[in-house]
Amino acid sequence: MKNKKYLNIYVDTNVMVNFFTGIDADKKCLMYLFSKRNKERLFTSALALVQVAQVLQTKKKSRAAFSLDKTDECLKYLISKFTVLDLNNNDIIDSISSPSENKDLEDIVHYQISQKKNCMAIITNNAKHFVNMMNVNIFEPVRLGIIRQNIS
Amino acid sequence: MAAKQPNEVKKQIDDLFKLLLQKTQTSYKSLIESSRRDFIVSNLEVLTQTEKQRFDKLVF
Repeated sequence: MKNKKYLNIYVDTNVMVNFFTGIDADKKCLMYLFSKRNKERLFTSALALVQVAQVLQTKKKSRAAFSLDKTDECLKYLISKFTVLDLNNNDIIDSISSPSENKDLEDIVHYQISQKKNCMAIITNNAKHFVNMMNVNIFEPVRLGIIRQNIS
Repeated sequence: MAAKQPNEVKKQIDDLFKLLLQKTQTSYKSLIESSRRDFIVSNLEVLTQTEKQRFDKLVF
C-alpha cells in the first residue's frame, strides 16, 4: 500500500540533471520513483525544466555540452514522466515573503510550486536548502534506502 | 535454553538492521533525521496557529 502522506512527490532540478549526466544514485532513485508513481503523482516544474536544459547545454569539466537535439529528447522524456507545474508571479511573490533563513530563492520557489499539489516529499541533492520547511520531508537520491522506507 | 531465544531474535534483528544499513548505504544519523522529519510532518496538525507563530524561522 502506498504511503498516503507521500503520495505526491516533487523532484528538484539537480536530480534530473544528474539522471541524464549518469550519476548512479540519481538514476537509481528516479527509476525507483518511476516504478512507484505514475505521472499524475510525480511532479516537477516549468522552472526546473528550464534549469535542466540550461545546465545540460553548458559544458562542464567532466562532460561536453548536450546538443539542442539531445536536450530536446531529455525534456520530452521528463514531460512523459512528470506532471509539469507552472511558475507564475504569485509563486515568486510568495517565495520572497516566505520567512526563510534560506538564501537560495530558487529552492524556495521550487517549494512554493510543490505546495500547489501538496507534495509532502521533495527529492533533491540540496537538502539543506529546504531544512526550515516543516510540512515536507526531504529525501536525497543517495539515501535510496530511506526513500524505499517512505515511498512505496 | 528457551529463555535465550528472545535474545537470539533481538540479536538477529540488530544484525539484520546493521546489514541493511550497510547494503543500502544508509547512516544511522540520516535515518534518525528522516524519521524526525517524518514525525514532524505527521503531527503538525496538533499545533495551533499561535504555537506555529513561535517558530518564526520555520515555514509551515
